Amino acid sequence: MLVTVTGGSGSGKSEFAENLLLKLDGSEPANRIYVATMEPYGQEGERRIQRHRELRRGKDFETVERYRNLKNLVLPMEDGRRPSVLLECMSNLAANELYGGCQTEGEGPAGVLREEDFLRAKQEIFAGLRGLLSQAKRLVVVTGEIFSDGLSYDASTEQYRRLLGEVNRELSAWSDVFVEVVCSIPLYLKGGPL
Amino acid sequence: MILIVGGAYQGKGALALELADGDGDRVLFNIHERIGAALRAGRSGEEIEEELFSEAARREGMILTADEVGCGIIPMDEDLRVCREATGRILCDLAGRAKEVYRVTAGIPVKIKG
Repeated sequence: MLVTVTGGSGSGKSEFAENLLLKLDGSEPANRIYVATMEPYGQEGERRIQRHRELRRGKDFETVERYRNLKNLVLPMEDGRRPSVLLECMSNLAANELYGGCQTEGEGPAGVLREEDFLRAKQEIFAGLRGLLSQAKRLVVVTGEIFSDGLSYDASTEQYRRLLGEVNRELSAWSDVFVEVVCSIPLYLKGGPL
Repeated sequence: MILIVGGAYQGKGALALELADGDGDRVLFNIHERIGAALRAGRSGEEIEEELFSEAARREGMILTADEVGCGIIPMDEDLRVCREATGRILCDLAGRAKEVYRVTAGIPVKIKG
């Protein structure tokens, strides 16, 4: 089962996603893995990560940090049981795949990847998701709504927005349930409610 | 207390006045602006939230409107970044305490709580 949870910054989507996975697991013995994709960067990044750790406290998650290249990730299994997995957050993973991989040198605006590298980043993301789906009993993916501030950005940022937009559309097609969280309130855009 | 959220210029204020039977005293408009100003003045999120809540509780059926501010690229500027994050958290809490929550898109209200 695949559930995608989206929302803006500070919308309460992370907490919702964690609690949703706990609810779906029900009384099954905890076998939960949290795949963290945010690379700690600076004090503010550390604070964010700390805040998320506090949120997860007591919820029995085993944390696996993986910033990119999820397709090679082998999830720990307990007694051969498939784990429940929470991937957080696609917006970080997309940035890490876009900017952290090998890039072909080329001409063009600063920081803009050639189309083949853009597609490679996207393929990496989907390969990673397929890898997780093949190992997990259920997968909850947290992603972000970054598309509605009415601003346009430099070509590099637009490329990132396009990547996440396309990934989210593919995710919604794959997902059994797609939820947008607004002010901590879940809106079920596909499937559910759970 | 009723909370109305949505993007800018979507008709949140008009909905608020409609729900308030035209009584503007029952509406706190655009509280995201107050939240932003108070945060920039160095006040804490908790403090601002309590102030808003007690103001909303001073009479029955108060209505608060706020822009949803978290649905864009994370700003480079630290103050902006911290502010929109804190605004989001405050709106989560206010929505938790509200009897009803609406989200307005292009003038169309969707009741998402209550």
